[in-house]
Amino acid sequence: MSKKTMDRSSLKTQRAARTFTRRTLLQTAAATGAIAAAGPFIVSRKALSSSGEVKVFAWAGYFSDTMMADFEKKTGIKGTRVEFGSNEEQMNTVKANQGKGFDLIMPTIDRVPQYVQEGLLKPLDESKIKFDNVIGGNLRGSDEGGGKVDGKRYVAPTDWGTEALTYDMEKAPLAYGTASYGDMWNPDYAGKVTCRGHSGLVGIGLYLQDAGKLPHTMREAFADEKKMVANYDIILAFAVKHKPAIAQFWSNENEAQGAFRTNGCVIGQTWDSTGARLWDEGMPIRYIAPKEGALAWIEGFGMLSGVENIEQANAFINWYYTPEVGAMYANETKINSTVKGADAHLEAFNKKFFAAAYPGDALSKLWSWPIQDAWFISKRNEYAEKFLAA
Amino acid sequence: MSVLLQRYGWALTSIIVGLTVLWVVVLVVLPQITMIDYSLRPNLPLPERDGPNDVLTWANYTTLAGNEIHRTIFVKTIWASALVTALTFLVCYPIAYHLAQVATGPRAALLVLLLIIPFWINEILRTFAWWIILAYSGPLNQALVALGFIDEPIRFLSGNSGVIIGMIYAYILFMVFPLYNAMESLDRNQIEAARDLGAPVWRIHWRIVAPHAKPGIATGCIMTFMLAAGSYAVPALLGSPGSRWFTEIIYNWFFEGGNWNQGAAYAFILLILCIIFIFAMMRVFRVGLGDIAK
Repeated sequence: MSKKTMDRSSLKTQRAARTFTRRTLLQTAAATGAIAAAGPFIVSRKALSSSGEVKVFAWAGYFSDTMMADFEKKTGIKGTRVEFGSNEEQMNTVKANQGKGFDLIMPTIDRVPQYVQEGLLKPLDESKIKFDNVIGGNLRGSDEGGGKVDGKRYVAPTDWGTEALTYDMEKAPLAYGTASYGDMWNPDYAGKVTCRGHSGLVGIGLYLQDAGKLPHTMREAFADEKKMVANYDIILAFAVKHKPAIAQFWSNENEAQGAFRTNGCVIGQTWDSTGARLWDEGMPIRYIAPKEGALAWIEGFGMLSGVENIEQANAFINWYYTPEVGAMYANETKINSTVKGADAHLEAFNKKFFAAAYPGDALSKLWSWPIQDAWFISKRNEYAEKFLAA
Repeated sequence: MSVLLQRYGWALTSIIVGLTVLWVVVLVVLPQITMIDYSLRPNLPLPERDGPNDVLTWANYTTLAGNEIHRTIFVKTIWASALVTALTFLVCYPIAYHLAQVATGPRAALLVLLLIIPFWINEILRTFAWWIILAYSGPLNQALVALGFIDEPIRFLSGNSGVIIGMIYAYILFMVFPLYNAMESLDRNQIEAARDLGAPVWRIHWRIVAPHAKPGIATGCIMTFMLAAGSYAVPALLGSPGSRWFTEIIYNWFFEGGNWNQGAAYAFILLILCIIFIFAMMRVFRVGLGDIAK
């Protein structure tokens, strides 16, 4: 063990002894062991932190090498990007590191109150970030949907998107106005359906709600545990009955694309990016908002409580908040940027996709994800588990 | 220790011992103890840790008893792992016998090389390759349709078949090498003597080859069983909506439910019950610990 590591671990030990009163022996031993193993990494991190770098924990595929190079060219700050595939993966990685290790993360706003409750996020300094460059409606939506907790803004919204119906034009044609989450359970498509465990249940819930088969609205189910159980028992029974229709469950972008690309699916409930990328590749795949409303989410940058490079992190957000970068992001990911003026730089495909996905009154019918508290996540997981195991 | 000192001197010896201790303590003992600690505590948000609610409890261990779905999946996992072990044994026995007693010299070396080469590729990639092969629009289905054997592609990845195929392939070497080691030491004259005395092939294997290879069979089966019961990658990649492995539930507690304490308890239950199952099987097949260590 080098001297540096020894110093570092004894420091860590002291701090641990102060904050963790009871698990001392064990936790410290584990931490010391981990630090001994990670020694070289810590030393190099220390050495670099003064020279201007920022560590971003981002969704897989959101910031390409080209974009990271553009950031470095424009600001002179070295950006490091590590990727994750789902909100759950993000949450648990951040929890495991106790809010350290990265500067910026990208939670979906409905999860932000949980991060704040766990003490993992730090409020943003609104005077340092160019919030004027954000589309007003998106910023308001973010603040009201969980991005603001106790009057403090924790999220700088970057993009918004939806989860709705992806379908094969030839084998499972859908049209706006009649297309419904219920179409997935049409016997014609049995064995060729894909969805995600927990959000598939919400899609079924909205379908049953509009059919008048639920005792409470889905929005109420997110706020009250009793109402949630009453709704979800009915939803689960429906889901289990129709489970044989499902060819594949997906849990990240890659798997959702795979369901259509190689696994013979013709209809499914997926993210907009899945439908867009497959269409862009020339497959006969389209994406459309169902009459119950597409499930809409907003994501943004949040600053971890253990942030080391605040200034550089703000610079990264402000770099993103320019029309060119916002558009670069939207063109590469096929997801909608929240940056003002980005639409002027959009590729023709993005505009075509947007028009096809949200015709008529689809935008006014978007169903924004309600805030998901810890109790809801744990209960939701129980139901999803029963659905997956049935 | 003194032998080690005599042979390598104090400098090299302390490096060897130090590295071993570091490996065992940091990478094996400490993480396991941390996990046990996790499994005995309730799942609390970070600010509440070490507060008045943070008490020792068995609650995480009793969850399994109260959850019928998880119990069923647990039993299925044990049963399916035993099936994987048996099938892997059936596939590997002829290979090992051929290598040990039939093939000779360069031919045996070539066969071993052919067995090993695919394993130079990472297990995840090999499993993913099977996913591509068996997929609905994959090459196997396309070939079968093009050749006119079937009209509509077959969904190979339904139920547990994909997982079982993937596991048998992934664990072949863990079965072949222990079997090969044990069979190689068998004197060929015994087989020839049995043949001269008129024993049929199955009796030669039943009475001479298999009993001699018993320690190898036991080692191979234990390794395959434990790997199968504890595998996450294969069921996650090759699983279908109809297959659910116990390791996936453990993963789900950690990464979907965010309840690490519950996940840790489930992981220990799996470990302990698998060990009990293995000792029970060793009893049934009359294999002692000493046989395996041979």
